[in-house]
Amino acid sequence: MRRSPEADAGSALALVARSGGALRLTAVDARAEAEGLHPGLSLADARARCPEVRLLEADPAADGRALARLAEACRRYTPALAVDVPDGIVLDMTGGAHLFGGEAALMADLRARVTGAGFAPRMAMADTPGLAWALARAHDGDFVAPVGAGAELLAALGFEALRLAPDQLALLRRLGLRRIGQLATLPRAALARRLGRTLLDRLDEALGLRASPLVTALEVPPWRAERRLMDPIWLEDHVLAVIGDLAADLGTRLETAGLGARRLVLELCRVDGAVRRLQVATSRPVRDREAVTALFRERLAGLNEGLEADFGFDQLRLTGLLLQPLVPRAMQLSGETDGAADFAALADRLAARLGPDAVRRFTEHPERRLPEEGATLEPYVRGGAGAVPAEAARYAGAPLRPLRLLQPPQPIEVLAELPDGPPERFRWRRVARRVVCAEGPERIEPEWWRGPAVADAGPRDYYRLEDEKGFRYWVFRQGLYTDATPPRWYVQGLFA
Amino acid sequence: MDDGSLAEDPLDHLRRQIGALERTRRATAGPDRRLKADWRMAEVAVQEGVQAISGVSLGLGRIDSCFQGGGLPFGLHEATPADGAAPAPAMGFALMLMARTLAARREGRGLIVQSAGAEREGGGLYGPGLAALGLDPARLALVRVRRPAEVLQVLDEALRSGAVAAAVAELETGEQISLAASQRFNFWAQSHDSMGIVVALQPSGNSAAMTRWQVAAAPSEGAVAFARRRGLRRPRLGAPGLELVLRRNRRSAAGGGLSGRWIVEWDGEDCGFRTPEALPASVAGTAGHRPDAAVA
Repeated sequence: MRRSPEADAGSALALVARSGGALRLTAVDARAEAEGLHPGLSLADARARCPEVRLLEADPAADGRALARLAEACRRYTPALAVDVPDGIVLDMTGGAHLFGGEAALMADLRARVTGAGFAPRMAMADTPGLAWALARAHDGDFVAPVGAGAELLAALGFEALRLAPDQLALLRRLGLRRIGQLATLPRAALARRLGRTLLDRLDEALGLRASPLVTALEVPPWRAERRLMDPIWLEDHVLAVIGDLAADLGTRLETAGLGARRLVLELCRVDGAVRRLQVATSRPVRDREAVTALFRERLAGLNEGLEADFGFDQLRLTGLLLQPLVPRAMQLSGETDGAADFAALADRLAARLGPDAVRRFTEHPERRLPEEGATLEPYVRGGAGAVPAEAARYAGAPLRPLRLLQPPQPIEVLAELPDGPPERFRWRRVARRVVCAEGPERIEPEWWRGPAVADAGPRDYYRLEDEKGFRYWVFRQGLYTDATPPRWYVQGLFA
Repeated sequence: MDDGSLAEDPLDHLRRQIGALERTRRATAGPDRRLKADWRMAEVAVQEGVQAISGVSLGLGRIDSCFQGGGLPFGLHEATPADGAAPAPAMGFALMLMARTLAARREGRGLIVQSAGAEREGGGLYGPGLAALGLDPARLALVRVRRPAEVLQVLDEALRSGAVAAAVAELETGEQISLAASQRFNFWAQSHDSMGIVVALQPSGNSAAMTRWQVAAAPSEGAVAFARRRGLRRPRLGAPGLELVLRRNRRSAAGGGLSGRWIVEWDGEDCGFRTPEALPASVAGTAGHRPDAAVA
């Protein structure tokens, strides 16, 4: 089951990958199969049998991604689904088929969508995942197994249907066993002894005698609101209206639980099966319909490529991730607005439009010594590791720290200096500057406990300089005069 | 209204009265480190038609008296570097105005917008440096946008929302603010009693900004003179000095100038401008630091 964009190009197509020392085919299309090629054939043999075969390199990672995308598109049928690497998807449709008009209609609908997406699926529906797996690979076309007919159907199949390891298959072949039905005449105990438990376990799983729980690909997020539409929508206004409804649904449930969402994911399912995921993050929990709609309005406005609705969306899902308690606030009767909340809402709107990293706050890391690490900027919407700076020391005189930090520090050429003193003249950005006022040094030692990479840089001696025009620089000298290499000078900051 | 006051325009009369009140208040309130009436929002409402004018005192009477209401009016302001000078002092001045506004509005928040290009060129703003100017970094958010045009979009959004007390936008080289945009910003800022400050490398052609300032760094002359008197080999740095040129003033007070030129120092501790001579670099403390003065 592979996407075949070039299937109509005429000649046979095969994928190759290096296995062991040789290049071997890993997959072939129908034409190649007709030419006698099959997976596992060496490249040289394949070329000999079919000289005009077109070869592409196998890309298992891309196959995996494509499979995951396909699984995501199948989520419209059931939330309980598992990706069966490398080439299968298992849907648990227990009690759900009637929603799609019965089992046969469900299969037809699924086939139409998957075929439309460029795949050639083999599908089967049966009592157990194991049986469905076997039937899907044994039969062409859609196969719906009648309830309780598992043993009968399985008996006619070969042992490949039981997902056994190659050496086990080889052993069974040596014993003269071809069909699963042949096992019925043999004693179980002897079989288990000779062939291992796996064979019987797989058999029991396929027949439903042994539990084989599905490991679903994604947990179903409980905080989800969903809307299926009779007809697709593609206008931004309509999408926003539906988002508002979804937000109201979700908000009611969140309010009952006293929660708000810090992160919301909107999934737009397009008619052709593509799923677009849009995420917004906020600096404080939200559940309000207007607030959520406003965030997504900004998010949609910030999309460079637009909504890409094509033929429209027929299903929208809104999921709240990262939930936090949100206690309703008493209304302020004085009519004053909550400044902090308004500001957080503004920051959230801007982050939704410009990206979560665009809006940042100042944070401090007191455990870090180097100036560029001790105070940083972190995304506003994430409560990061850094502490929010407390009301800091103010200076009536010259500030100790620059207003702007150049990162990385820019090297300067010192034209005149006294040892262990500030530069008299220096050149930065191709302009020579004469120092009039200077203060320093302030020595900042590296954090030697962080290993040689940090410690070997040597101490920095910082000076605050003012040139004749009144511009102020924060420069430092790295290294000592006693070192083998002369110290280097950098400008790291500019004062107001 | 009696006949005696007809000799003088009633509006001017009112302004004079308020000016006198302001002066006495400024004289009595010392440079206390806590918020004082002096530099709390000078909510002076001089009725002019229906529009109330209010603003923020800069802490320096010489400059404040240029404006109606005795303070920098709320609205849009522009700061540009003096010809050929580096942009750092203009940005510094904008942040000082922001510090002054945030100090006046205790709950107020500040937003700073920069494009990624400007940040690369001039360096990113540094929290401890802002704190040293008297800004509280916990009340600030910094927005970095990728496209230069987005700077003004963010400023628009911020001023319109009313969630910020002051917003500073740094434009990239070549970027200018249009007349329509400046009118919009001015309107938003005034309707929410907030400050919008645009730092541009070139002055805009035509804008509705309330004031336009040209800013250059001023050398620490006081510190140099002090060192010369004391025979020190190398002067130390004084408080940050700026040379301010007021190029345009749409709210000039009667008798006050439409323009002006001042050399000022920024006092990060009191969060206000002051005259350089008033406080030589050697003076360690002022009367305001004494507890008895703080009570007053």
